[in-house]
Amino acid sequence: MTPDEALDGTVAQVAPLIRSRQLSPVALAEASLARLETTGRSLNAVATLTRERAMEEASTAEQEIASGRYRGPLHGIPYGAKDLLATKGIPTGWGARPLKSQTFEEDATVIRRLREDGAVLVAKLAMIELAGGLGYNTPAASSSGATSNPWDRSRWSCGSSSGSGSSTAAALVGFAIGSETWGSILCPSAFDGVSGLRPTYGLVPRTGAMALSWTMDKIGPMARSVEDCRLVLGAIAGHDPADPSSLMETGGPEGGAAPPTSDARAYRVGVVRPAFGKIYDREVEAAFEEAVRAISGLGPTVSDAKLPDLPFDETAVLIITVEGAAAFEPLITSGRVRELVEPGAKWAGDAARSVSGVDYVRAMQARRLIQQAFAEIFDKYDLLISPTMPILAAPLAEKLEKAFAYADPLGSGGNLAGLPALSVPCGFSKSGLPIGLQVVGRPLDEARILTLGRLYQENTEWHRRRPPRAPAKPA
Amino acid sequence: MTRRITRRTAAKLVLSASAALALPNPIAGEPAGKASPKATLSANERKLLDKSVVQLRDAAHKIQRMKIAIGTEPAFVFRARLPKK
Repeated sequence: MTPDEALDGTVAQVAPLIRSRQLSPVALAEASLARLETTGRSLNAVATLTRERAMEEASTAEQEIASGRYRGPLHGIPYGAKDLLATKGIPTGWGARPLKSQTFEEDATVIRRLREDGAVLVAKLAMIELAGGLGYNTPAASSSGATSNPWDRSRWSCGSSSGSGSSTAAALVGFAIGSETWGSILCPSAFDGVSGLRPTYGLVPRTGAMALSWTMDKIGPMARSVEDCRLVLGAIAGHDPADPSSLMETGGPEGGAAPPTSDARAYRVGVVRPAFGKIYDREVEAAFEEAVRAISGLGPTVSDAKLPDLPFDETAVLIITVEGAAAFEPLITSGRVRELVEPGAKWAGDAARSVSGVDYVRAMQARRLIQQAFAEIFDKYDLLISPTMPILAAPLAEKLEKAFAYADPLGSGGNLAGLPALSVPCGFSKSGLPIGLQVVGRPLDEARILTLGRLYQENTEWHRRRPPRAPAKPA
Repeated sequence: MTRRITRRTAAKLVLSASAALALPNPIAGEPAGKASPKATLSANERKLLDKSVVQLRDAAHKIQRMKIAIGTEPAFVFRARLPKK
């Protein structure tokens, strides 16, 4: 297998080749950098190529493996990180023009842990400016411009982990790291046809990551299989004393990613059929119903579940708006907010100040009730499944307030309650756009989510599809 | 919308004139000497700001209408830090 062919594979497929020295980490990093330089740039998926660091890490990996020091399945695997994770000496611009040359003196904890496991950082990946923390209404709201979807370049990769989704789907990297406050891992995973995991709040440390909403931000893996998500989560999860929100108990020796031991046939799966109305794409609906039948056929008990009538979206909006405005206060008061692409960022601070302290605390009380409601739901079910997104990838030119004009109770509620969730490909539209299936579980029950996801992928082929390669440009 | 608050108003609000009057001057949502970005918005941008404010108020009203029992602990994430031994 050539390094270029290996790049199309999953981490679980490639790792044994690296371990047995049939595949060189240096050659693999070079292949990844070449794809990022060409396809990555044309997709607008790249913020910064980290060539020098990549070659240093790949050479180290090669020498260590040659001398018998194999660190594990991520050793020698090239990966990209959303450009909100600090990387020592390399620009970390948070997708924002006024911060484009910002650098930090230390790696984020997640980056450091991946380095310790021998993974090779090849790129900082494009993202929506400030992860959408001051709002955005177009896919172009990024210092990198709009990131295209590799399945159809006139469509959006979704955000805010735009480059992480796009570059993982196009196999420019072995895996990527994204982050989610509300939908920023799951939406790109669905639109781009990759497997993405939003971990339990507090499971993966955020030290060195941009803060948008201290009470809702999560960091997680995006990969080409559920098994790869498990491998990456095992590397990045676990308590970090430097992160005040980091959990002490992480659900197992691999930090919530413990190898599945339970029998998925014993799972009780609740089906949340969204009331998306007219906006619910019929092709998404058909693919989802097929996925429900497939999961039912694998053994779990599957029945309908209903979410209570609570103001999920409103609560999330209030909390994120207020915390985002507080997080980016220096940009707002300095006036540098005007350098952002999104025009609405100019008045986001004033809008946020219209929310009273009482309203914010009330929203946090509502959030407690939402947590309790999910706890009651999870008395009846082990997992919930739903379409990740009710729509296909939106056109690049479309205003997002139009494309995303629907309620998202499982998305907002799941994030408010800090619940883990996985998105896996579950079909394609006639036009070739991916469709995602969402699996949500109890806090710190990543193992069960990953078990069902892996079982589903062992019995379906959707995650094996790759987007068409762009024709090579004439010299 | 932010409204510049006077010491007297602050005193009324907190029902404790002595405490409010002891607050440093100025008591405002923005740092001293900084012009509000709002002041430089165009008419259309102000309209859009007003629309955002209305949307946030609607969201807040919806939460206000919820039945939340007195004493419900807000879902902040906070852990007391114990002194190092």
